[in-house]
Amino acid sequence: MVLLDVKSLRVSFETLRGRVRAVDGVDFTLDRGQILGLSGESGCGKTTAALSLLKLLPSNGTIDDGSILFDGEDLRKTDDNRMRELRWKKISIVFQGAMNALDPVRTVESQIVEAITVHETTSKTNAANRAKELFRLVELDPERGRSYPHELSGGMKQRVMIAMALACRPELVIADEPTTALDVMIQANILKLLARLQKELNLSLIVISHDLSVLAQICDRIAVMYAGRIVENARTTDLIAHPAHPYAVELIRAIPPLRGERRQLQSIPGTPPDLLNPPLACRFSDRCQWKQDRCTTQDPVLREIASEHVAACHFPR
Amino acid sequence: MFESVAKRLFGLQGGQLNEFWNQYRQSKLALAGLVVILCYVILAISASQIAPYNPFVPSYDILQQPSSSHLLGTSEVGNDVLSQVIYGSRVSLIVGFVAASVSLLIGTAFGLISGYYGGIIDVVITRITDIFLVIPTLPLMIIMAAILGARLSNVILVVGLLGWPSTSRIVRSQTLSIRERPFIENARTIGSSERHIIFRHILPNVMTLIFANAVLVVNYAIISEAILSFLGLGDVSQISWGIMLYFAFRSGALSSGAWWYVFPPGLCLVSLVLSFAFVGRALDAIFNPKLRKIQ
Repeated sequence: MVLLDVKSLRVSFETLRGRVRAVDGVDFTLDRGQILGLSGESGCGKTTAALSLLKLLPSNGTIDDGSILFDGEDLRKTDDNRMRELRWKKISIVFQGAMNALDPVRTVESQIVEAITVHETTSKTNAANRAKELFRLVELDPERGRSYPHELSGGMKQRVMIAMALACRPELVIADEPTTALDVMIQANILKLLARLQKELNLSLIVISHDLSVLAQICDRIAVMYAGRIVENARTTDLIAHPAHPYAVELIRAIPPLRGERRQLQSIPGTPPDLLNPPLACRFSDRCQWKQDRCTTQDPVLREIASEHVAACHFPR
Repeated sequence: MFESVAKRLFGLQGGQLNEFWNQYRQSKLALAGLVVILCYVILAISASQIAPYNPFVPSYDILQQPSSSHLLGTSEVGNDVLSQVIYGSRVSLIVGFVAASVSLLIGTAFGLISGYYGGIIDVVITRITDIFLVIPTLPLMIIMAAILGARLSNVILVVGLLGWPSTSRIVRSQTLSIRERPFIENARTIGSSERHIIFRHILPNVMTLIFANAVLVVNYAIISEAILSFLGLGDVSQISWGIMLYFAFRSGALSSGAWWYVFPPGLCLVSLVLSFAFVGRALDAIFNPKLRKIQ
């Protein structure tokens, strides 16, 4: 059952140099209880796309086109009050950089209590009890609630942020780079935690990461973004085993293999196009080693290349 | 009680309070300053018990040298100078603390509002702050005091209403920085109200700065009161160190060699203000680690 259906979403930022089309026609759907990974390099629009779902764009950003159907309701058309209700109660977010997303001079429990009392008329004690439950849920000692953020490690802070995101029992949680800045062991723990919470609470998750290997561990589907667009969207196993878009192919090639012969890691030469003036051609054509004439004259659209596997390439691999 | 206040206001915990005290102890001057201030506070509270004479009652022993019956001599109308100095600490401290509170309240409110909301509100408040910073305070204070009349409450009002711009500036700049931190964005996303964000997130984060600045504002208030009183704009029905100096000057005490009438209030003022300055400097060094000496 489809929970979230995003259609031809376009988001742009008004800057001094002109209008930057950060998200330029993004389509994807998310089923209930599904984990979707959004991947791509810095500046490709992953975070912008996610923030526009919550309508939390910076003041110079606007949603220009498209629709965001959440549980049948078009979020693009909802007013601010309704949006404030939906945020946290239905859709919540774990912000990028958990290290700074907690108020340094207040205990972490009081900040979770704040999230609860803003949305529900309940007593402080009830909210505090719920906060303790949430701590247990994310495998933290409830006593830790009395700590200040500087007394917690990075992984613990990330758990607090996840607990905070779950405070009002949302249906959809967006995790923006949930494992960035954590060491590999802690990364694995946080990913396991997210996967467990998804099952236990039947959550739907959107996980944003530039690291395909992180997404591959927990996601049902992965969408690869490039220069403001989704270039490939497939089941995780299909994407990893049979990437179709040259960009996805190269991304997967850049993951160091644990087994097998040692080889030089590949990087993709070149830089993404300027989103102030995106070219009327395949946006990856400048960097594509399989480029043909058609790629520089015609902009490819997402099309099905296998069952539940779409890619935006004239000549999929 | 002190600990719970510290916790609520600054988010300090027991351990942090100890750490704070350990750092504070490092500075001998700061410790001395604290002791001097506490002495004056005790003096002010128990003035009626400690003072040997009623400082308001004149006698026939005018301008007498210090002796065993009058340890600091007498004034031009025969008041006991020691008793006057003791009672004088009351007005100086009251004006210092109350006027400073008024200034801090106005300055903090303006700073928070202009820093948080920005835009046209910020421009207006910042310009007003600039005007107050540029106008020479003393003449303005004299004019205001003269218009309002010589009453203690008016002195407090005048000093308090003119002492806020520095606080406002400091709070504004810190608010500007904190407003952009991720945890504020997080609070906004959660749906916290603006009031909640300002009072529960931003204010506690600027509190240490306000606290370090408060000491300097108290100093400014004490000196301003003394200046106004010395110029004859103080409340002469009260005794303050400034008012003592005013009467000493008017009666020509210094030219007639009555040093015991001039020096005590003057030295008291200097030592109190200096003590506050030492405490302020120590707090600044603790709250702003950049100023700390490398060990």
